[in-house]
Amino acid sequence: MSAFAHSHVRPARRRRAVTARRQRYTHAVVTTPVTVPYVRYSNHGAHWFAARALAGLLEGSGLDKADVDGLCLSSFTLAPDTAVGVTQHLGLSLRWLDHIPMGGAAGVVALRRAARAVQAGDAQVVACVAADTHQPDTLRTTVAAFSRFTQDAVYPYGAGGPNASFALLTSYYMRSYGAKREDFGKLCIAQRSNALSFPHALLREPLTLEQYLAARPIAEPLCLFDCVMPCAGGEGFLVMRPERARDLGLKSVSILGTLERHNAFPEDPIQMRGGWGLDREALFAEAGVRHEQVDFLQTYDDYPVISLLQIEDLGFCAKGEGPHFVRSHTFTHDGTFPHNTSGGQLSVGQAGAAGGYLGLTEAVRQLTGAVLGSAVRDARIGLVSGFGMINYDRGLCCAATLLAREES
Amino acid sequence: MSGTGFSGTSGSPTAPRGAASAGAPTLPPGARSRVFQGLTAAAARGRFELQQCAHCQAVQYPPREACHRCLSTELPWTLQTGAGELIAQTTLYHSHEAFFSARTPWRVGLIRLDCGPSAVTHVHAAVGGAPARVRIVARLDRSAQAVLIAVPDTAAVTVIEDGKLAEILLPAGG
Repeated sequence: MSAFAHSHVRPARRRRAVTARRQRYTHAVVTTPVTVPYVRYSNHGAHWFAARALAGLLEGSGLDKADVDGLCLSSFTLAPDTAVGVTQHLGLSLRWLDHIPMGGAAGVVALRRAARAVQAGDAQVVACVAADTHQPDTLRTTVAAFSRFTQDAVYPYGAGGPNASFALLTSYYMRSYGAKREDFGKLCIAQRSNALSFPHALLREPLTLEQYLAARPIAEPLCLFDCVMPCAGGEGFLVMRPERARDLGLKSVSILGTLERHNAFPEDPIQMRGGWGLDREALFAEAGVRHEQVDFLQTYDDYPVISLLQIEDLGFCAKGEGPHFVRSHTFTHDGTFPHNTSGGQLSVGQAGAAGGYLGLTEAVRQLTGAVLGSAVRDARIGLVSGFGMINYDRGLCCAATLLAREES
Repeated sequence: MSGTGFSGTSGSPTAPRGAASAGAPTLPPGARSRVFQGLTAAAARGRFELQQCAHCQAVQYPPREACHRCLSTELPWTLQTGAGELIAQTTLYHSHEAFFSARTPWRVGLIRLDCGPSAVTHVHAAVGGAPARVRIVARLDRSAQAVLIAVPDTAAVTVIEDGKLAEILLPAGG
């Protein structure tokens, strides 16, 4: 081996790391949750849904387009554009711009980025938007070229897409921890019950356990109701300084803490835990909150097994105790452990990257008394979790935030 | 769970072939990265090779441009035994590609290789339910790209014995 070949790999110099103390999110709040109504298929492009979301944010806040000086955008269907093209497409002159290709983690990550930009004064008002269209071949083309690793090493094996990936995780989880299909069914049914009053849910008929169990198989052990229904739609919210929100008369929520972790536990043979576990103690400590104070949890739920992983890894029960936890709670908005109170993606639909915002906009509504569906009584603190991007055999992006009702 | 609807299948599937029977024959997805061609070149010679870092010896899959452990870019393709364990499996009843939707139910496995990485593979009908010891072999599919197949770790199982798998592969010597 020549010295040249490895000149880039220098022996690590052991130095004491200087770590900066994380700042609290004291000068940024989240406000104006907006949903662009979902449709199963749309002839509009992703830009249309982004435009509708932005218009909703302006209408909801009373701000002028020129007042928005920051944009955080997520989408799977903007190609060949990115957020850059959207500035010209929608006539925005910005001094702060971010494009977050993190799917199911996009909402929480956008909130983190935007809050720091506002806190530092790099932007005054950041519009966070996720928007996607859905046409008959959208899912296939998205999945076929989702990442280099899936193209090389997953898609050629039956082209099952995320259904196949989550089927593998689900079967392993069932074998390892004794989960039954009924346990996953209970989560799906509770979410459907929550969705019955949520106006944007595409699936708003009651779901019974019998229907759940009898549904056609998609990728064993997953059947139809375990899998999100892809659709088109958009979600958005604004991040600004608290005094600005007050001046505008906007209800807002404060950010108690956040976490973000990518590619955690890469040596695990299969994903039975996500990055939340590495950082949850810091998250709760930063927020000064105990688990029993959390009034509701919004997980990223493209398949029910991943909700169980989040419940475990966020510390609501130990690893492997998810099935017991499921059997001990109702998960309805009016029951014990309110979870995915809008119905989650499994009932509302998965509007691409907007699926990564759904829990956040719902949490802000719950904490500002502006629910569209059913309210969690006296909700003061909510936890929103994100999970995104099956780059190969597992989801790489994990994120979470603790949000609190603003005390007036 | 053993591969429901898969074991015992041999020869041509009797199920309707969908798009495959309507006109032009379909092919399995053929797009791969440039680096992946190392795997395909080895599979063409009947060998299962993975990148093994010349600097830290880490074996990696999927193929990369650099070692995931030490970032060395010297990554010779190295013969592997393919020994590993089927740790999870699924049977697909839905596929995004006509080539496979004409062939469902289709069995897919996740293999933890003894040499380190995890691999998504096709699964030979003779492999039992997870967990099961297996051996990975690399073959060319009908798009002339390498695919990995988990076969029983007992010797002398040829992929061709599984008719449903044989049908997606380039004929031997092709």
